[in-house]
Order: sequence, then structure tokens, then C-alpha cells
Amino acid sequence: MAIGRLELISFTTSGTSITSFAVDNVFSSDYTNYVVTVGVPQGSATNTGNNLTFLDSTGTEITSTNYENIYEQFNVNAAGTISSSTTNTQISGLGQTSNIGGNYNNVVLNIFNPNKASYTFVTAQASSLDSIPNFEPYQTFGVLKTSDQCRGLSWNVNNAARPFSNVQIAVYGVAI
Amino acid sequence: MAGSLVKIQSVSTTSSVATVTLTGISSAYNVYVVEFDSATPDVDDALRARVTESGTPNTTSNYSTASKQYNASAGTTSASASSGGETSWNLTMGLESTRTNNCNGVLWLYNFNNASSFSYMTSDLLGWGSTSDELKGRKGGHTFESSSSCDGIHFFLNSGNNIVSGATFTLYGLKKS
Repeated sequence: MAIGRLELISFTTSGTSITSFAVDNVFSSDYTNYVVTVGVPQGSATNTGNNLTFLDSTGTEITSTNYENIYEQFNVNAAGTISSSTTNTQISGLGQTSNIGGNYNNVVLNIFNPNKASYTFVTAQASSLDSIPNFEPYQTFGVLKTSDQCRGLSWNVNNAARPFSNVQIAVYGVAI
Repeated sequence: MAGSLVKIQSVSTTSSVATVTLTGISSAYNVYVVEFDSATPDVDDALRARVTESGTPNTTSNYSTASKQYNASAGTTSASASSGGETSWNLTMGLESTRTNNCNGVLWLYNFNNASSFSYMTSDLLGWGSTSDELKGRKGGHTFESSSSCDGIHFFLNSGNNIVSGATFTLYGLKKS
């Protein structure tokens, strides 16, 4: 019986006041599927959403309109809202960052087949606060609709005028 | 430090198969995880599952599913619920056969081997849908409403089609000590 099937590939912490944080050379043929955890302790004064893009086989960020996703943004004080796009330039709906109310964006992602020459599928859950602050968890599904053999990811803010700092990203390979 | 996610069994399809069965659930662990990827049907179809007892799928009408489906192109959700009368769990929406590495997900299994409790499961699944040509995701809960000692989980397609070559299903146990 094998032990330790969730294997840490990378744990990195970003610098401060940045709008994107790339983690490269983490996806390979060594694993098919991955678990990624993201923690963002600090953002700008006003909240902004976080999103995900992938890095192709050369390490270049894929920013074409080949992302498709749908997410539900729950709200502790209101009904949840559904958002979706079939021509997105990123996978949206991955929590929010701000420096308000002790906010800390916490996200866990399951990423399927990123290094195979096929679509890359993502499920995610996030929990964070908006600027009220209201507690707003997210349930998110996404796909990159290209055959890129991705080797990394980039974690980004939706609004470049609202940077974040000290982003922590851990990438685990799921061994079979 | 040794890890706490312990591989129990993995099945990778090397040809089209009608079913995949993972066994090895016992009292050694309370919680198990199944991760699967690329469970693409050879003809558009939906993935379902049953518990196994002594390796044999239980086909009684004791399965319940409550889930929410997310449809990307329509920007909508829909509920999928069944109450007690199903002979298997309805896991996914209809999936497109022409999309490679389609149908991926993670299942958390609770109390499967506990003969004094129902078996419970949560699911987090997504793939490319066979209707509307869009990303579809599902999040749900499932129970097998019979107090029996289950030792595995059995996957098959709703309309009897095959899972193509290249799919992988892996069962893990979570260490409790």
C-alpha cells in the first residue's frame, strides 16, 4: 500500500503590491491531476475578484478568449448570484481580496489534465469577504478550451488598480 | 513525514469498458476519496454509480441524490434530486463523447463500511456537456439508505455505453491515526 499520494510540488509566496503571480513549471507528465491551494492575506482597500489563467508549454500566459466558466457567488446576507461566460479570458469567480474586515481569500482547486493535449478542467471553492464586509463563498467550474500542454498558472486580480500582496500558492500532484 | 492520503486501488482503462469497480473499502479508514479523470463515454451518456457489497453492486432502490448543475453557456443552474427510489446514484449530466479527457471529478465517501449507518457521499464533478455544447458542473450529495457494510463503488454509464480507454479511477483512504 502506497503512502502519501498527495505530493507537494511547489509552495511559493509572492511579493507585495502585484496584480498577478505566476507559478511556472509545476504541471508535467509526472501527474495527471493536481490540487492547488491559494491564500491571499492582503489586498487593496477596495475588494476585487481573483481569477486564474494558465501558462502554456513555453511558460507564456494564455489570455485568449478560450476560457469558459460558471460560478455561484453566495452571500451570507443575500441570495447567491450566478455568473458565466463562454468566451472568457480567464477563469473567474475565485474569491475576493481586500484589506477590509480581516479578509483573507482562501481557495482550493482541483485541476484535471493540465499537461495533456486536451481541454483543462477546473473545479474550485473559495471563501472570502467583500467590502461591506459580507462573507461570500464561491463555487466555481471552469475549462480552458485549447489543447495546450500547460506547465503553470497565474493568479490575478480582476482590477489592476487593486493589487494584492503575499499570495501563497501550493501545488500538489495527485499520485496514482 | 509519511502522507495521510493512502492509495487503496487504481483502475486505468486500456480499452472501452462498460463498468469500473473500485474495492478495498474497510474499517481501516472512516473516510475515503475517489478521484477520476477522462471518464469519457464512447457515445454521449451520463455517469452513474452504485455501492458494492462483497464486490457486487447493490441494485436495490435505496439510492438518493440531491445536486445542483451549473450550465456555462446558459448561465443557469438546475436542481437534480431523487428521493430513495433510485437504483443508482446519478452523478453527471450527459457528457459529449467526442471531447477527449472529458468527465472529471472528486468524490468523498463516508461511513461506507459502517454496517450500522447509511453510506454517504459528496461529489464535485465537471465535464463537457452533450447538450448545448458547453461546460457543465455538478455539486451534490448522495446517500445509500441501507445499513450495510459496503466495500467499494461501481461506475457505469446510464444508457449502457462504454467508458473509453484512458480513464483513471483511484480510491484513497484518509488515515485516522
